[in-house]
Amino acid sequence: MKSNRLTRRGFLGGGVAAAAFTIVPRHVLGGPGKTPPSDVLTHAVIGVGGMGMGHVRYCKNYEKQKVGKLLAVCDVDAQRLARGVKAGGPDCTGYKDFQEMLARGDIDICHIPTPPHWHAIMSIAAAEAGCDIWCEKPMTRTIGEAQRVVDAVKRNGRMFRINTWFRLHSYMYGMKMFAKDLKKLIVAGDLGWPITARISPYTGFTWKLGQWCGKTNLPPQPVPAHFDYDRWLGPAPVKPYHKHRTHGSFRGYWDYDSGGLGDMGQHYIDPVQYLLDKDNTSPVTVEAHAPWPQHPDAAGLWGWVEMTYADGCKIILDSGSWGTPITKDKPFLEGPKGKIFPAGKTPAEERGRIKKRVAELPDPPPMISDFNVSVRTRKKFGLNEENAARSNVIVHLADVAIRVGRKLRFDPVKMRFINDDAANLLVDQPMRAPWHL
Amino acid sequence: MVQKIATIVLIGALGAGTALGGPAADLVAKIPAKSPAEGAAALAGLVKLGPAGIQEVCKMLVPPGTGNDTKPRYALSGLTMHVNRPGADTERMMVAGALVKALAGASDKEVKAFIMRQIQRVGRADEVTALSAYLGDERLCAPAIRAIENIRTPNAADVLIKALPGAKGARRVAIVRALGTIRAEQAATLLHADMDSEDAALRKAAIWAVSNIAEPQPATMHGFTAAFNGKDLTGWKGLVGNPKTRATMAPAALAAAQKAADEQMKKHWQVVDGVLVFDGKGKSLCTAKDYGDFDMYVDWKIKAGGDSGIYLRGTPQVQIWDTARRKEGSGGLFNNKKNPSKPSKPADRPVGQWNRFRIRMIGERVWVWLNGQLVVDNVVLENYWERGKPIYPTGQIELQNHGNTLWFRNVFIREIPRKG
Repeated sequence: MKSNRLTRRGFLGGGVAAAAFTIVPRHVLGGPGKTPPSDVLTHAVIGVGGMGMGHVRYCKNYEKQKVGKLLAVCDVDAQRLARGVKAGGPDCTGYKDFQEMLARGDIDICHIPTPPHWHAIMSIAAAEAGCDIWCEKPMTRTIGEAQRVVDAVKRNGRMFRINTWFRLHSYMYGMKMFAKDLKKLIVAGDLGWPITARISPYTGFTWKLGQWCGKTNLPPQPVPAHFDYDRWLGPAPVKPYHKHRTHGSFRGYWDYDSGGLGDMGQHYIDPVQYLLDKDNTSPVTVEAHAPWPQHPDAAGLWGWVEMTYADGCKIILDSGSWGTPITKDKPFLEGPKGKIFPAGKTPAEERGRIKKRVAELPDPPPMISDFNVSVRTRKKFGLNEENAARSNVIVHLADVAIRVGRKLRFDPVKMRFINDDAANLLVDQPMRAPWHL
Repeated sequence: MVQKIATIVLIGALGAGTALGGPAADLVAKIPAKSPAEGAAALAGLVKLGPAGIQEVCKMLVPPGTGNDTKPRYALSGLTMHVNRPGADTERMMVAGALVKALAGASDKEVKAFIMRQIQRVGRADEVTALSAYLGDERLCAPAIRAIENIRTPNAADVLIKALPGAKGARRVAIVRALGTIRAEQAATLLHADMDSEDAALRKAAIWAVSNIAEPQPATMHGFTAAFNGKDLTGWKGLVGNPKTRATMAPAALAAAQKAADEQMKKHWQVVDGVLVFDGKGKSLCTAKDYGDFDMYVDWKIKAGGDSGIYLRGTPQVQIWDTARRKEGSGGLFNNKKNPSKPSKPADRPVGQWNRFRIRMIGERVWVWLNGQLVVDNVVLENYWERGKPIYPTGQIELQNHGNTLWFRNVFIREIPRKG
């Protein structure tokens, strides 16, 4: 049995353990001649597909810097698992069963770059196994699942991050500015209030809808011998296998993700939520314009989605790939006192003025932008379970509105739609046994 | 490139389903429309055709790989979204009824599964009954359960319980899991045998399901024994030292100390109207018996500023206190240092009212429900008396003295056999 005495996880664990952190001598923790565990965080990666191999590379990079060690990879596709183990190196063990992997008990950070229909189950399991969690976007497949992840992360005192970084570093796409810079302008009142944010190819954000469309009327195919389709489906309903439903193109199917919204939504929307100061709330109405009905299985095209907050702030998503766009020639951010267009549509003189203004304004409160720091100090990452659950809500408000096809009202406290059963069925989707939250 | 793929999806949609004639086929041909409003208009037309029209659309469905039924799939999925809008109950019922008839008429299992996914959105009690016919089918059990879970009318529990005796393997796991999901209170006792099953998947599902079912009445629960008889202190003893000190005492010395402790206990613990009452002056009350793995219920009541707790295997403790003083609420494993010591949320009732704990301990791990809410979930209880060691494998359960008046009742304990 786990004694949980001086394991590295007990040591990196919840609040009480963190206090012991700085006073325990290194040699006690690491043993003579060993690097103390505080310096080398152990990692595991569940799902070593395209995105997962990216996470393997993050870990290998940490190994080079001697701050991390990849101990395990997990996949239900034997070919991919073999590839992951090979990339992981001689000390990396492969698993088919993530629960068996988590039961090792020596993993500090569990990466979850699986398809989104697994994110909630695995995040909760990892939290309960005492791991900190580095999850891919979107946070979960539904609004309801994210609430359960938040509960589990808090209950177990874990650190959580979503793998998107535009809130914290990297330019905000076409803005050629950091989210922080835009935040300064907004806080200073340069735009006034309320603010409308437009996320569209016209403001520098490509929705990739075509790339992530599902296919309809797929003929069943034999399941490859190296692939455990049943395990890949997990909580999702059983449907006949077709290659296009899985690796590399799964985003096109509602059972697993939300098309382009799933791929890009949290990247784009999360920094906007930060800009609009909405980390603790959600829009109260959502309306979508799209071909309708949507296919029951394959994510398709949509035109625009408009979401309004109680204070009048709006987020408008415009795909630019179906119907008549509504954001052409419009600014990215617009308030009663000012507008901000993407860099390419802003005259050099105006850009210079904005830059100068940003430089003279005070910085907003800092956020932790290195997950290793969060894990070591037990202080929340900038994009953590709580604000990620809120940007996850926005992604799914959009996909639910597109699928349900009518204007919906949403309760940001209860996180359920008001008086619409069809919409709420998409908030709480039952899982296929034996899986549950 | 982006545009090209997108076009293929739309053309695929437009190409299918037009071979059949008739008003239903004509409406299906218009779907998907270019906007929600146009789509809703076409579907309203379909609703007007009534059950016959809807069954006609269902007949356009084909087994996967044998033709193109993209259009009717769009139409039926849209229809169940459309009639599941606020204020459209009559339409919803009509569509649900038509889908149940179509379900019976369809022969291919994948087609049936598709129809079930539509019933999931619009069904009520009658549809639950219709879906229950498929709980014995290996392929269709899962979609039937998914729909039943979603619909969740009161008869959902009944049909799942009815299917339980004949269900084995993965189907049984699925039914047990579903009874847990819908919190079927009447199922809790039925699942106890499965909690000790040799089949690990079933055991896990049953333990989860019983845990998820909120607060059943312990007196009626299978396998539980009343540790307090409601009349006297039979089965209880006074407190001597602690597990560490008791272990070092010679048997004769321990027996003498126990006798003195029992005498002391009787002065301070009394039974009044079926309730255990503590006067706030003596020591904790202990079960005469030692427990290993167990599941227990205990109701408790405190005064303003009150403080107590339940010791498990002689070790502190599942905390009880006044939320006016400690906002996190009761139920936490207060003496834990490395593992969580606080409950996940306050679930206490106001001081002076009865609260109910359900406490489950398996190995080192503890689960606590307070008034039906899970507040401690699978947390290791640390050894308070000997910090370097894991918790003792067995020990007495104690109702803690903390110098204030306390009331306890309904102490029911079920011992969980350990696997060899």
